[in-house]
Amino acid sequence: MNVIEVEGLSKTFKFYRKPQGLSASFKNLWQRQVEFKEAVKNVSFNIERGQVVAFLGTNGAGKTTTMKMLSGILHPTTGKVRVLGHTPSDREDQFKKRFSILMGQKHQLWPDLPAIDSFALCQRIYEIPTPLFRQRLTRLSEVLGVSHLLDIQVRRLSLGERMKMELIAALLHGPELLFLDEPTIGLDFLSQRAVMRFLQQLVKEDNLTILLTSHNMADISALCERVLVIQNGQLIFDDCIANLQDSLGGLRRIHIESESALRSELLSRYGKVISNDIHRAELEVNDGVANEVLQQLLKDIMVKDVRITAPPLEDSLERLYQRQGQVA
Amino acid sequence: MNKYMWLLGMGLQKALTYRVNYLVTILAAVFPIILQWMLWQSIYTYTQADKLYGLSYSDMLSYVVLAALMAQALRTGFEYEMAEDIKSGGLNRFIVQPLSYFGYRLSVFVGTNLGYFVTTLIVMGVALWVATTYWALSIEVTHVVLFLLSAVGAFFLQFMLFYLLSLTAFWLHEVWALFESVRVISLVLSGGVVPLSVFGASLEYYLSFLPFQYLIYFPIQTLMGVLSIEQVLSGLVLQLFWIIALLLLSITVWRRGSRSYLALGG
Repeated sequence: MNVIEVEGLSKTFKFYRKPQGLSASFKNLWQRQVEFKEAVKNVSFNIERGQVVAFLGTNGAGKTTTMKMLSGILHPTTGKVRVLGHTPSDREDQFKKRFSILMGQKHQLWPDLPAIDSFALCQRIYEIPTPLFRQRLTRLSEVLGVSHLLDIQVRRLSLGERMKMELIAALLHGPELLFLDEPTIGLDFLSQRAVMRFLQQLVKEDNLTILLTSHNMADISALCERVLVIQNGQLIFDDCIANLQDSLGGLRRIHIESESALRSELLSRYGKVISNDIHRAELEVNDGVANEVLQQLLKDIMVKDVRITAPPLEDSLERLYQRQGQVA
Repeated sequence: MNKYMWLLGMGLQKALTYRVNYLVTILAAVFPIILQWMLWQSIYTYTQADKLYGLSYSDMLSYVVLAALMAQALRTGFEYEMAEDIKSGGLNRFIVQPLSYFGYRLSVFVGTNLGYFVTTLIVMGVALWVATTYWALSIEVTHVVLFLLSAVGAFFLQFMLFYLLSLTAFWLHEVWALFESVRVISLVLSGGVVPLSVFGASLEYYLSFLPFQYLIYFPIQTLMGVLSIEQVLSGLVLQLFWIIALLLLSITVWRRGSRSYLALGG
């Protein structure tokens, strides 16, 4: 069953431009240059229940705008959106009770009061029966390891602890769908891992559907099976992560370690030299010839250790963006 | 418990966390009162008049002291939070949660200001005791009851005025100057500095068509027994009229504003 159905979605923003200088500022008083920006252009995709999907793209690519249209914050300019069987921009309470959105920089907890007070507010807002509320709160705070912090003023908590509390607030009403915008921004890596592991567990146990944006590739490779890549408002990729790398004409990285000095001029005969610090080098070759190159290398050079890996996700994305840039 | 009642309680809790803040603002109200006292004392001494603008010296002093306290009781502060919500996307939360923004603001306003409002009324009671003892001001119990009624009306009218004012943040990017100007103008036009009769009969007449005088001038006049019962009752009706009128206006403005509302970020 599809939880999210998006068809031909577009959003155009109006904005003003002010050229440099004082005279332009005065001119802007009565005459402003109006311009339009198509933040999202003709985007279509479906997401099934229980899927964890990453939403990738550079800053300003249109990820957050799309997420805001999916949650009903923004009205689409054109196109159709159905989420959990509702039209988000109708903003029905029945719809609101079935999902949650968590934006890394926007908070719903009251900083002056302990988190437990804000949680109790959530209970009232979402009309959660008390036994269910208690049961969920106990489970969530135990898994995230914040049970002992519930009655401390939120502003006295660390960033990671606060983020975990925000997550709890977003999950208390048992949403079926979770939108996460940069959930691990500003967290240290241990907290990042704890949050990601927790989300993984939720997906498994509660059949939760998650759409998440993040600039943290570790988050994405750990959690998501599918990626949507958006650039300049257009959806340029929609498939699983492995296919992202293959679709770009699969590349492989060969890591070589050697006792003798490695010379870049020599290595460049075999493939593109990514790095070389004399005893350790990294080559990039096409997938099809990787084995051949490796055998040749083993024959030619005194190799101590060798490994073949896929290029990092960041590189694949960069190539995807560049390729798209050339097309556009 | 209802979610809005719960919010009211949270507002009260938050206010109690910062109780020293309360004390400081009440103390700060003393300075303008002393200033007015000195001013009117010299005016009455200099002019040698028994009555100025229809008020004797002791009436004038009682008025300015009570009005200054009333102005303190009606203190707001949520307008900057609202402007912030509108400008930096804090409203998003209310779009994605089953919670009305107006209800949220009203409950939190009542909650955070309730303690402050009541405390200031108690201080006014003390001032009143001083006024009746030393300045020969006579107060009847009916007037006190009617005053309390009009004070509650003023509390909600003040909320509506500043709620409506805050909604301008949908269109204005910089609201500080506007908010401060309105605060000062509203204070003067509501009779929070001097009684409106000081501005002359014609201006006082025109001001009666605006909601401001129902914030301070009307309640204090009620308390001091200047108005007849009929005048007080019609005043209470007009106060209620303004609360409802501003409520309806703010609903329209909210609709307009939220339609053009752009949550930041892309």
